[in-house]
Amino acid sequence: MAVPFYGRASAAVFSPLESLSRSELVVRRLTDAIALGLLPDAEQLPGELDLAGIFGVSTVTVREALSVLRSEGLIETRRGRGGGSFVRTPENGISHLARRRLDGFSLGELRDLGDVYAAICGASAALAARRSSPDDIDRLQRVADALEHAEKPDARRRADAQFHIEVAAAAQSPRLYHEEVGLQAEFGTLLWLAFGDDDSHAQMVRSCRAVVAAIAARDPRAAREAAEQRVSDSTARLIDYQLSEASR
Amino acid sequence: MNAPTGRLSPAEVAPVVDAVAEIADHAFGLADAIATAVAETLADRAAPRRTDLAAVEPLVVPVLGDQRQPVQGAGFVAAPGVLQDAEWWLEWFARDADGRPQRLVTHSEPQAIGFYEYEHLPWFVVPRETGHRHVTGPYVDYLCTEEYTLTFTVPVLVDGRFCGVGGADVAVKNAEQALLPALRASGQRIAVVNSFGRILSSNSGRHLCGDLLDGIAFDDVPPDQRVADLPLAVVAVD
Repeated sequence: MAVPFYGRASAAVFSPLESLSRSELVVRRLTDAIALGLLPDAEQLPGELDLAGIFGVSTVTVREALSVLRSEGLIETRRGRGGGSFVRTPENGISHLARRRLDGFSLGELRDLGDVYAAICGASAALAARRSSPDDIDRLQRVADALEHAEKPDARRRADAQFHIEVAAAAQSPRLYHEEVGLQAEFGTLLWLAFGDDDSHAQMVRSCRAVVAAIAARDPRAAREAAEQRVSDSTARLIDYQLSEASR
Repeated sequence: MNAPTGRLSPAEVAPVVDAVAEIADHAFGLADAIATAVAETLADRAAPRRTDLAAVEPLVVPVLGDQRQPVQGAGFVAAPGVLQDAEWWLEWFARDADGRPQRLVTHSEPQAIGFYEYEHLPWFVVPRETGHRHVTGPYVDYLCTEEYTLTFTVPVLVDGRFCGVGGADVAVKNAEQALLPALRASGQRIAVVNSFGRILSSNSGRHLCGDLLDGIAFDDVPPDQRVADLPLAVVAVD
């Protein structure tokens, strides 16, 4: 029941870049998007000129980045009519990509990212509790239902991402929404390594219901607390996962 | 934030109501033109396709290109199943960061994480359910502009069948710019709110855009404080 759209959850993918080593940043942005499932298998990327415009880099930089992605097997380029660059999800799944990125983080850095994410999610939830109209709350309930009924890890990941976005939108803050999307690309991808199985899913659904209940009750303090708790539980789970993987 | 009690004098209210109505007339003018053009096309074709919506772009692009007017995105959103070659479709155009009109890039595959359930969104649902025009917002429009937005939509009906909505977006910051002169000229603390009591704009630093004004009984707001048939009204704040 849906239409994928580049301007939304994938906004982090196609928003302008700001710092050095631009082709590396393009590679990371696109790799994250593939890992997060924002760019699904067989999806056609915009053309080189469009990508250059979207990211605010030169076509040479885009070409460099695409060549790296190609050598890593993450995109496939076809020539001629109907040609272009197409996403190829690795055979061993997208978690492989996220795991590779997770290796670059120390436990302290993960905790730090978790702190920022908790701050953003907590602030969003508190404002949503003050500012949600009845139809905002209906939408939050509907996304919570979708999360509960999602069975495959991909569907669970999508519903969870959607839930966070709806909370930030219910806060009536475009800036918090943008922060949320950016952090989902940076940190959400990693969190999902430790999630998706039935046990963690049950925990996600419970914590999601707690956030919605506090927002519906128009209780900003409880909403902030529930949202922060939700993120810190996820971060703890990710750190445990990282520790257990490292010991292998 | 408590509900207003006192009735506002017509002299205080009228200029603000007029300023809101002017924005709405402009946005609905475009939405109506789009809806009429699309309804004519759909009535002519047994199995319409996306390419049959070509009439939308020339209606929208000149408006978006005019920086002095407040509409920053507009188009047609198809009801699921209306088009033969796309279950879901937005024939939509919006200003890009440089102010140029661009087609909104959407996907008709309900798969990726960036999917969108517009079938449940008020700017689509209300015209479908009521058959009337509607103003949605202010809300964070994460489908299109990613800004704080008002969306004006009208139903597209062909032989009584709902086929989608024609619509136009106005950024809240543009609406505020148009409303502030009238708000500042008022001697009373007043706010423009929607039917939930959500503030679009006010002349009080204690009642900010996006906040809810508690205890608004929208149906009880006097007619001269309401903006025509729309879910928008001018109320007093403390």
